[in-house]
Amino acid sequence: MSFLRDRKNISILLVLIVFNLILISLQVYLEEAENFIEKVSFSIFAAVKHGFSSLMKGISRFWENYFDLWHAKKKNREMNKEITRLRHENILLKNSLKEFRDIEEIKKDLIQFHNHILLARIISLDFSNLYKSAIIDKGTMDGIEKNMAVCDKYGHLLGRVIEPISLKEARIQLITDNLCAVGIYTENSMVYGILKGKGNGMCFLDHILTTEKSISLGETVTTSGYDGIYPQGIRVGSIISMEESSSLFQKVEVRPYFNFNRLDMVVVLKKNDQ
Amino acid sequence: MRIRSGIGAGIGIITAVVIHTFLEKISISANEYISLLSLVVILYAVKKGELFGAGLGTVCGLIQDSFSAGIYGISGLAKTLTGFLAGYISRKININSPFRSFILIFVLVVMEILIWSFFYWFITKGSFFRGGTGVFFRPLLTSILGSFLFMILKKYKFFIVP
Repeated sequence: MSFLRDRKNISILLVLIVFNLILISLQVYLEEAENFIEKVSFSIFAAVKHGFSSLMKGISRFWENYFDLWHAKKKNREMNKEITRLRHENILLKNSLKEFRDIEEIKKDLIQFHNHILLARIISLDFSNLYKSAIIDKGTMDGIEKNMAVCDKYGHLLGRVIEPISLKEARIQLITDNLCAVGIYTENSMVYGILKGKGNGMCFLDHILTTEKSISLGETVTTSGYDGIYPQGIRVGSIISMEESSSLFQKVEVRPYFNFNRLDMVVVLKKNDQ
Repeated sequence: MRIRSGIGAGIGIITAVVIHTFLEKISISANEYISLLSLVVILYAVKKGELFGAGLGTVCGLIQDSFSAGIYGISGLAKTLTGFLAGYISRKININSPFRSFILIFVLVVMEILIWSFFYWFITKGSFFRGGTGVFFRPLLTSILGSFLFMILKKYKFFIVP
């Protein structure tokens, strides 16, 4: 009897293992297409996290408001949001001015830009490696789409929206993920290249020739817009080390500007059709 | 009876997810140090046996995968094996003492990390240990909390199947 029971148990275990292996293999077959089971489990449990996160936020706000002058707090929150919007407008203005466009054009852009900013909150970080991804509290109902760029509240690049996206939650791939790549240029030396994540909270510049000597330590790295995902002119990080190697390329390490410990409010840059 | 167990496990999963969310608010890297979903799988596998453990392991693993940008199904596979082995080993050896339950959970969590890392490396050629250092403390902290939970749950007759 015990033998039969063990055989039945092993058979069911094998079925479960094969089921998981099929799920793993499907990703190779479907590439970036959505996995239905992943989408369902994400929608259900991201909603649980979202709900609890909102509840905690609500309780902490209530607590603060109870002791503080809550009108002042509310005003402060609104102003913080406004500051974040203004920072992004400022970035756009600077970029537009760089291109020597006339003021009317800039104004037109500015009005459009205001409608293309969406404030969101981080509700969870990656369960397996916290430098890979995060979940935000905005989804398809708020107009979130795949590949929208995401910045922190200071306007530094954080990552992009990837799937799955549910009604009120979406996942973002952080620039520190080892599978992430961003088109960039260095601000002073104007060297164009690709920034990749290292998976440990840092990034590096890929394919920078050893003959390239103009890059300097501390230089700011900014998005070039050539990747077609991240808009041009978003500050990404600064160069913290450069090492020559025996190969054709040098190792240039970049520390992202965004701070993991202060990830709360983020800005999603909704896609501009123009 | 099965429905009751399913509901109990469901509550366990939701509690684990809620506590994970709470820990994240305290410290951004807190979830690297402890795996509450693995603990739910091990506790229920010991209570209900290897089949229930394997099934619950698949569910918990896939939930964990849905919160991660990695390969969907790797945690499912690792936790399925963890759940099965937890149920199987607990039938074969006595894990009544806190020390024995500590060792069992420690070994299972280490095994789960190794299975996960192997498949992650096999598919992406990337190392799981690139992230924070918290993962090295995960087996220790999870097994300390787990053996403590074992003691409490035993007191409330959680492991006695009616």
